[in-house]
Amino acid sequence: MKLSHEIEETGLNGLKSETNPAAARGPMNLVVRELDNGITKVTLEGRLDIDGALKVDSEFTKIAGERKNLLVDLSNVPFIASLGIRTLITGAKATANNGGKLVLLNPQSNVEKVLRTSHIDTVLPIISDATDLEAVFGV
Amino acid sequence: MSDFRQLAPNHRWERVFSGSLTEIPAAASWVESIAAELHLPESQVFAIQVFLEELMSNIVRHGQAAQDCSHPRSLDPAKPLLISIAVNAFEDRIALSVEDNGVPFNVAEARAKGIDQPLHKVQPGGLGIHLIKSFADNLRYRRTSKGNCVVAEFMA
Repeated sequence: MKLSHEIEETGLNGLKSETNPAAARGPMNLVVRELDNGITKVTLEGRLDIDGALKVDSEFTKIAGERKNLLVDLSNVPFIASLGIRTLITGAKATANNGGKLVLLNPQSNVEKVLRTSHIDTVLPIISDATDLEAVFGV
Repeated sequence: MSDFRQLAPNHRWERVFSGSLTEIPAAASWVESIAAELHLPESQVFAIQVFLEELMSNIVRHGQAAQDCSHPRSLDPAKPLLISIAVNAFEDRIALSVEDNGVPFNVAEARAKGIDQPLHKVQPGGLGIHLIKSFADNLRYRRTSKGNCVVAEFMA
């Protein structure tokens, strides 16, 4: 599946200053692209630690509440904590309420370990290949 | 846990953080710099980071400073919550000692909650204890005269 067009790019950069260790470790970004067949790809970039999760949570939840099928690219997320998982689950419940689903794409190995340790993979599919999204989402 | 050895560490670092959410990234950066100095394996560093993030988050959100130790459950809003972290490096492991002056909370005996229900029944949140217990190789808790003390070991 190819990307059709980019409709929105949301930079949720934290205040970057030398005294803010979170900013020094890299800002958290969220990029939204509309794909074919009503699938929306959300790319998260940065640490989904408590600081990063708080930065993206409201925007991510809003996007999930307005969409049916959400593909969440985690390939640029080097760390996730329970608050980040909470954000993903809240989004998944919102898409389910809209009759769709949320699918996680390409988490880094350490992040995948956290996800599987939490058993999130029992309620959210984790995929490493985005070539057959119609089958994954059933669209 | 029974496997804690009492030998002196090869190296030791200690620092006190205030009990606020904004201090968690600062603590994570501090531990990361120690890990870089020790050339720790990536998987070990990651486990320490997950543990510390979840434990500090739990302390900050639930551990308002206790008034005094004879009445540990009496809260004192004026008394600042403090978190003291010691990193002890041994040849084969890292031992993290985390002390706080908050209300009593035995994390080692707290109920761990993973996701075990269908999505529509899952309540977001509450995974922190599960991750704390899963990413530490050994975990021990004791109530001290100052407050709570959690010691966790991470094998190389």
